[in-house]
Amino acid sequence: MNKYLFPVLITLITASCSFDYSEAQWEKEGEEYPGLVINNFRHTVVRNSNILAKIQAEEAKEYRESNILVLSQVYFAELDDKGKITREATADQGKYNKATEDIEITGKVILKDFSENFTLEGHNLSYSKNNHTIKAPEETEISIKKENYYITGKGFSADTKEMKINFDKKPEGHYEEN
Amino acid sequence: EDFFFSADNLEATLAKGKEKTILSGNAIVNAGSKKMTADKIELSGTDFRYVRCIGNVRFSDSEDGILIQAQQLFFDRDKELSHIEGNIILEDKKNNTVIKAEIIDYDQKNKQAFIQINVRLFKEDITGRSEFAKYNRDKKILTLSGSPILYKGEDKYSAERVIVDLETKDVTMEGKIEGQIIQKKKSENTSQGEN
Repeated sequence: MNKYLFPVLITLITASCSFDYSEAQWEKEGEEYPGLVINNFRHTVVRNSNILAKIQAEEAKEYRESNILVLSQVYFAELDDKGKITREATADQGKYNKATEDIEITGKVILKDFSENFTLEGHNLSYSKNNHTIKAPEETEISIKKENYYITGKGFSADTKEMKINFDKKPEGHYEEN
Repeated sequence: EDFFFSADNLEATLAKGKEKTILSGNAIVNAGSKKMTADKIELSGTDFRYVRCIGNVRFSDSEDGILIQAQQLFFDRDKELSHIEGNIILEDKKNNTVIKAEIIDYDQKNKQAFIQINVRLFKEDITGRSEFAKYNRDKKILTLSGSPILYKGEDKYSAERVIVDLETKDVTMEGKIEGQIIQKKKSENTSQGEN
């Protein structure tokens, strides 16, 4: 297989929004039809020869009309400049809006923050880049573990900038002394 | 000591070194035999060393036989020191004693309480009031100072310092002692018998 095919393909994906498709006369994508489907999707973000992020998914579908990338069985990792993973997440399905950079996760999600040393587990989270908030539906149970400190509850939201979390539906938890 | 908590709402900061958890609305913290309930409870410091309870505070320790009701309570879990404020009612079930005041600093390790402002003591037929009091729970000694007045039955005592032994109910007074002893009238039958 031509060794340059894959990098070219990846570059095509990341640069795809800059192409003017009207001239290409491709079949116009409806809501249901992805413009591009990739199995065993791998995407690496590199800057100054440092890997900043890695995204892997069993399947990636790109909907050019609505500028959305839908990834199934997705793994995401963020790395520091020494190549050490600082955050990683797995999710059943993630919908990434390339315009707003918002993310909608459906199904099970596990998020690990190694720099702040906590793990979040739950279902159906939505991330708003603009408001730097993560939210779960009112009735969804979310649990957080940080070293020897556990919280679980519903009505979850978080401010990713302030590193603040909030549960407003009967949260409970416990702390185990070292 | 491990502890468990729950509330209507929880807000927590997870950033390293700034960990803080605020429980609001029916906030409850259970730690072994100790239970704290309040409108709001803040857990902060390394390993959540500090517990601050605000509004309708109830602190009970079933092992220690203590129940405290107040408006604010600040507890240092490492040093086991509590600073309590606002309409305090301290019930010491082991010594069958109730103390009311505005401020109490309680050293749980040494079982000593330093009590201030509007101190009121209720122990069976002993009642007392003063501005300050020191309470040594182990020795069961309560020392009232700052214009203390003590009523034992119908007798009334005042001095610079009044020391009450809650076990024996002995009262010792120091400095400017004044006492008002009420002699009970002898009842008539006993007097006829004597004629």
